Amino acid sequence: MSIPVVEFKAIAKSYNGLQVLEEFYLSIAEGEFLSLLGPSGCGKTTLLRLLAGFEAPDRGEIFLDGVCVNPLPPDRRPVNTVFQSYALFPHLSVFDNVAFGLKMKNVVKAEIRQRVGEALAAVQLPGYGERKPRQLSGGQQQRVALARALVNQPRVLLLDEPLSALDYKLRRAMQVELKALQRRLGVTFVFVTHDQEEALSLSDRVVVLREGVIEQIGVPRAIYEHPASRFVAEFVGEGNFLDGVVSGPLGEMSAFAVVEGTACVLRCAHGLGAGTRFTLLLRPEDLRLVEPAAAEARLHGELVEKIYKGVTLDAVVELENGKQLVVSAFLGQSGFGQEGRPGQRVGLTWAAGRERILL
Amino acid sequence: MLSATAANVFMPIQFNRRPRDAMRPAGFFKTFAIAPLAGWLLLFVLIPNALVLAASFLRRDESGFVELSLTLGNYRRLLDPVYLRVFAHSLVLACAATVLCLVLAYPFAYWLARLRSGLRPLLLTLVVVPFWTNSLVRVYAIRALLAAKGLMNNTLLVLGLIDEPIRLLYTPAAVLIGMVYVLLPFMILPLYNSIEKLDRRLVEAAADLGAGPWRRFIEVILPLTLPGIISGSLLVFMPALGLFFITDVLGGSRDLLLGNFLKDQFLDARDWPFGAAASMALIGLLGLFLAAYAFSLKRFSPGGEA
Repeated sequence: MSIPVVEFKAIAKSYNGLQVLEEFYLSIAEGEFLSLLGPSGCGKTTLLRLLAGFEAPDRGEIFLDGVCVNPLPPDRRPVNTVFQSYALFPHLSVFDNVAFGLKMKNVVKAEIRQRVGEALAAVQLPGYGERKPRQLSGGQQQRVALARALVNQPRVLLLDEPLSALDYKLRRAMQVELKALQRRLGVTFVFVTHDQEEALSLSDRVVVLREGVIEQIGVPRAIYEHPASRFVAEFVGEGNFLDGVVSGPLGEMSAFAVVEGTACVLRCAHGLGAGTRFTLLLRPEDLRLVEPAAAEARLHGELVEKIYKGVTLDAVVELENGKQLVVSAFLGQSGFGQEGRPGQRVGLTWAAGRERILL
Repeated sequence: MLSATAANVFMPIQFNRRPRDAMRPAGFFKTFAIAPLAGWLLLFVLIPNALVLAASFLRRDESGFVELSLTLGNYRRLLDPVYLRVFAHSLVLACAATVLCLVLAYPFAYWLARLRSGLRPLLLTLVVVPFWTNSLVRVYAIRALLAAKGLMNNTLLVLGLIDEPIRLLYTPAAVLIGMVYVLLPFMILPLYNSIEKLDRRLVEAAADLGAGPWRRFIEVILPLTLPGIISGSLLVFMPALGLFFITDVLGGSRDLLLGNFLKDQFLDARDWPFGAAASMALIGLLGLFLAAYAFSLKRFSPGGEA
């Protein structure tokens, strides 16, 4: 692989004695859409601010195209930021906002005019140049902020939860646009978000952060289907977490185990010795309700509640030991669960191999 | 705003249940609260000013009061180069005081607004503390500092920095120092107010887009704090045109300023109509500046109206 565009090397950063990052390493490849995902306070915004140059690391080095940028102030780094609040200049027109960066680089007027025009067209706001930011809707301000950053052709575009102020519909629309824009321009995007759905649907790679430490880096599918820890599994998507203990190995890949008091055979349990305690992750969509007497029923319980969600029908099942699981099925899918009534005894099963064992 | 607050305080239940009935007592309260102030302004501001306006069109009586015959002569007299020079001199000095205040206050206000420690309330209080003492008294203190054998000269002499006392008292420089000293808080407070409201992220955004410290200041910070600069400048400039005791105490009687000139016409020369005409000219001038201020607020404020 060629030199990464961005490299964090052994970064440490603390605020008022609170350690946010310690010995942090991360490489970002040319042209990728990388998301930093995590709950608030996990250090994702700090990473962005360190890269933009608004903060200086206590220790460690940040490289851009193989050059250490630690001594460079923000105005001399070839990166641009889309701020959470957009931070559009209220005293300047949309045109002057977008032209700001080019003006600072003393680009000639004719070229500024042309490039700003192209940038506004790229974010579907042609002809909005004369307006003031306050005359625009939230979504339009968002696009102006995007155009203002992209017009400078940054090596890396930093996006700090740029969609979090938009309503759900607009947000989804902007996600699609953002992804399309990134593909077309080929610019490296570093996208900070706490919204796991957004991270999964946009990114080439997702970095899940927790208290300044990388819990997992991977493609969205790996993050969702093969979470490296219970934290990742809980943070990304819905999940049922069952306690279990290994009774003994079964071949190379499988094992006998007791899960929530019931004997089971589990796949993907390579190398686990007898007596090992684990957490079993089962996504609601992987579980299926069956007749309690059916041979395929692996767990048994009582149907407690059914929740209609439009696309899916969720069922809450209480196991004999009191643990509640959520089972979700697409409406119209034929199956035992669709006509079940609360109070009814049900069996639960899942396709072998869909379970995840978390230690 | 006032009526809504009053209604909430005095009759929350009625206000919630029957808004239409509640409007009447609230309206009454508004009238009740504003009437005394309006009366006060009418009696002690509007009427006296109307009298001064009237006097400016009358002739001077031999006994030193006014004679009831109309004339424009007082205004014509103001156009005399002698008096125009007083106007010009006052304007120049007021401008100098304003610029000096701005240059001194801006960095301080900026620093104060960006200060993150608990020192800020203390420093803000210190800015206001001079208001606790009469400014005339404080100007006498300045006089003691600047005098030939005053604190400043003595210190400099003792330190060997100068061989003979610097003559400062009774110079325009002393008047300028006095004005800046007395009026500086009026510049600091509006500046502080607008700088504190400035969104830090906008400055970061400017840096992110490649603006160095100087261009960040010129392109973003300055335009966005312009309302504070303008209102601070007006608050300094307008009194600086009219203050007479600073010139009296620090400038001797050689430099005639507008404020002194007015005072002299009324109290010493006892030419009320001429003094009245000069006052009206001053009020007209200040009115122009206020109009410019209102215009600039509309033009430059990012929020549009605020």
